[in-house]
Amino acid sequence: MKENKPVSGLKRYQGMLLSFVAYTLVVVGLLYYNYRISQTSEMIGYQNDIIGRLSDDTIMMHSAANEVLADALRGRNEKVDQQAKTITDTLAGLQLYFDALERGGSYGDLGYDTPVDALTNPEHIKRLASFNNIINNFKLLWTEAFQVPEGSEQASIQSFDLTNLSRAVDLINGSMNNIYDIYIEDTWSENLAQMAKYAAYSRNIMIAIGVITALYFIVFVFYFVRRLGVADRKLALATREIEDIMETVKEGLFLVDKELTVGSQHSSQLKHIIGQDNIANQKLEQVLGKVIPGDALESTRLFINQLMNKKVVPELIDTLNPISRVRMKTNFSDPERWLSFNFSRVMDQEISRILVSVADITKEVELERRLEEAKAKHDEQIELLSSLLSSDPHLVEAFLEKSRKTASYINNVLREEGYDVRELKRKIDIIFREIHSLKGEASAVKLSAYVSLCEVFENRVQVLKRQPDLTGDDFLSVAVYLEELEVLNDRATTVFSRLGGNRDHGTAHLATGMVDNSHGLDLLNSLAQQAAKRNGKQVRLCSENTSHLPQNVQQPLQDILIQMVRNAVVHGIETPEQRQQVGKQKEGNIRIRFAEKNGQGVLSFEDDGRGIDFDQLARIAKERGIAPDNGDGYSRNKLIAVMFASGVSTVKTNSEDAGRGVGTSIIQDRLRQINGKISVNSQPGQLTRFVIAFPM
Amino acid sequence: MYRILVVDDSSVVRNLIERISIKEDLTVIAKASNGEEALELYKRHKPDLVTMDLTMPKMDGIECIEQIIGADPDALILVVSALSDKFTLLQAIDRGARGFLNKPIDEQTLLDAIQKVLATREN
Repeated sequence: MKENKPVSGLKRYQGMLLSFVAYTLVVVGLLYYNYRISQTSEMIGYQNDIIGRLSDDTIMMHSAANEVLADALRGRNEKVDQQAKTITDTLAGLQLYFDALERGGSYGDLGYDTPVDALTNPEHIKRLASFNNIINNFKLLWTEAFQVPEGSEQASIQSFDLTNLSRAVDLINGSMNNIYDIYIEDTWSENLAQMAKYAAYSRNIMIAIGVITALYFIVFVFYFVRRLGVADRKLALATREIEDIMETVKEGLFLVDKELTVGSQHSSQLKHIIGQDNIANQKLEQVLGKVIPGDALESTRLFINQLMNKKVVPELIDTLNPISRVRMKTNFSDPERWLSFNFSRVMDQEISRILVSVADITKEVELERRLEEAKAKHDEQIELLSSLLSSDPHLVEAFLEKSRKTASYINNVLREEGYDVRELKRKIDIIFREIHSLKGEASAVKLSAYVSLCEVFENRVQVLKRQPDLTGDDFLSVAVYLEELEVLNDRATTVFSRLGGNRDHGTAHLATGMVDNSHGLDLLNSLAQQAAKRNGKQVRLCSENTSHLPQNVQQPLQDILIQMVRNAVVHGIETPEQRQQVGKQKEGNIRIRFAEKNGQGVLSFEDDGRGIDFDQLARIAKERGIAPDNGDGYSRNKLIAVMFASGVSTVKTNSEDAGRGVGTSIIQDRLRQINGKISVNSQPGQLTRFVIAFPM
Repeated sequence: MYRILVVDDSSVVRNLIERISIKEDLTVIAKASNGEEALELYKRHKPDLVTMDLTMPKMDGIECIEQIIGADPDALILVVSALSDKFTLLQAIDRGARGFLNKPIDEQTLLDAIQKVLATREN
């Protein structure tokens, strides 16, 4: 791209300027030459002028001399006197002329002096010298002839020497031909010829200047103007290319100057991407303000200012671009759109502008989301699979069975008649209990997919529980979760059966009414261990005779035991350090025993923890606003009832294990199912013991 | 031989940067563990370049950058920080830092960044 950049300023016109300078030099040179020629010609003219005068004077002198001789011979002395004077004067004048021609000087005429240069032509100089010589000789003879005696200034009439006079006149007469023909005529005409030549030169020079100018003009027009035409075409081509690029490029492109004003050009896609068209010469903040959220605008301004700062290294702040990925401001009803902005410095010897590029990345974001969702789903599947594999298949099977039953039960509850508030509240309570219980078991079997689902299900139901008014619509969300549960059940069951986990050990149930309850126990044990681990405690669970539990009470009793185990681990049993401090073994003990007595089944659950904290219960009861029995105290029975009533929990946090205080209401529910009764025995610091009696 | 002042409240990081710098023609002439110290050492030693952490006790990185630039407007400062909050990092640049690097730093990235920052010096 660099080569096509138009050459700046003077360089472009360099050729033109040079040619113009050349032309001017040539013309000026010619004109100067012309001037010199005409100067010389003029000088020759002056020289010719002098020669003319020499000619005239010499002629005059010639005739005067002859007259003097004639007069002298005739004895007319007065006339001699007159003429002689004239000749003397003339001779002086002639000398002046000769001097001027020989050495250069000036000669006077009509009141001003005309300068004249010395002769340069060697031939002319020779002739003049000869001429001068003759005149000098004449002068000598003449002076001899009219010798002025000492003391006298004038030539006396009486004192002329006829001999010298005759000689002088003879000399002059004899030389006249040469003088005229050669010395004067030839020189004169040669000078004229020279002047004519110079005149011709001058004419030619003028013609030449005219021709050169005309040629130059023609060349100028065709060559240089054509070149400019080529350059202009190149520029037009380049502009065209840029326009094409701007039309076609997918991103929105525009430039921003130091004052953050948008330039006049931008790519055509820009208006599709940011929904604005005439952004030329607007402030960048104005343009962006319509497109990105307000807080991003502030950071963007900061970022661009840093990019403009030549002290900053752009590669080292590139990741600070706050809008490399930003949600576009759209109207509420319009679909979501995402944009990606990119900023680059434009260097022009120094940082002159910033190039802004915008791309619509809605599709990419969408794709990313879907990939993430797919991945999450995939991970979920793997998770489910691995947890199904890692858990005891008996436990898993029992759990899945329970889960299906629970889903079915909730379904029925939802379908039941009764839409007044009390009924609805009752339904909610039931659903809450069931899901909580399911969650507990899911936790024991380590099926985190179920635990997660139950958590969110439980949360939702809890929110509904707290609502003073319930409508049928509120149950919509419950239905949705129920459906999720059913879907999960199907999936898990399918996978599980494919893993070959549905070993048939159900037949034993039907046969004896008694059952091999070992999996139930495994479940409880597993639960206890996990809860212990989570709470930093050590626990050992053992059972006696639980294999003889009748089948019809197994499930409800299991539910009860689950709650008891969790509560025991969380509330009852102390940490190993605490236990050691009071002389107990580090490991807490939980014992579950079953016995039959007089047609009644008796199941006892005992832990050797810290016992029930009645004070804590009293406090909570007070907090809950439960009315005291005597004065401001509560009876033990009351407190135990409080403990069993829904919503009381002695643990403040809502941990997975306890906390919702709902465990005890499950116990109540299941007891009702088996017609059982429960009693509590507690020794502070020693043990807690629950005994459940039920008809067999 | 360029002289470097390392500012970071973690001695591990200070030593790491020192170790990396030794290999090129860079010398760590001083190390500071908080902003106050950094300012003091800068005034005393006038190093060619400063590597600056942002989260430090006594005087944090942003403030320290401001102080150093106040004392010497041509100071070359490279922020080396674990922060990923763009706005704070931009503030650091706004106060006068020439660029930044995210922790964890690897040798080549640090050396490249130092070279780039040294190159921004107007002579």
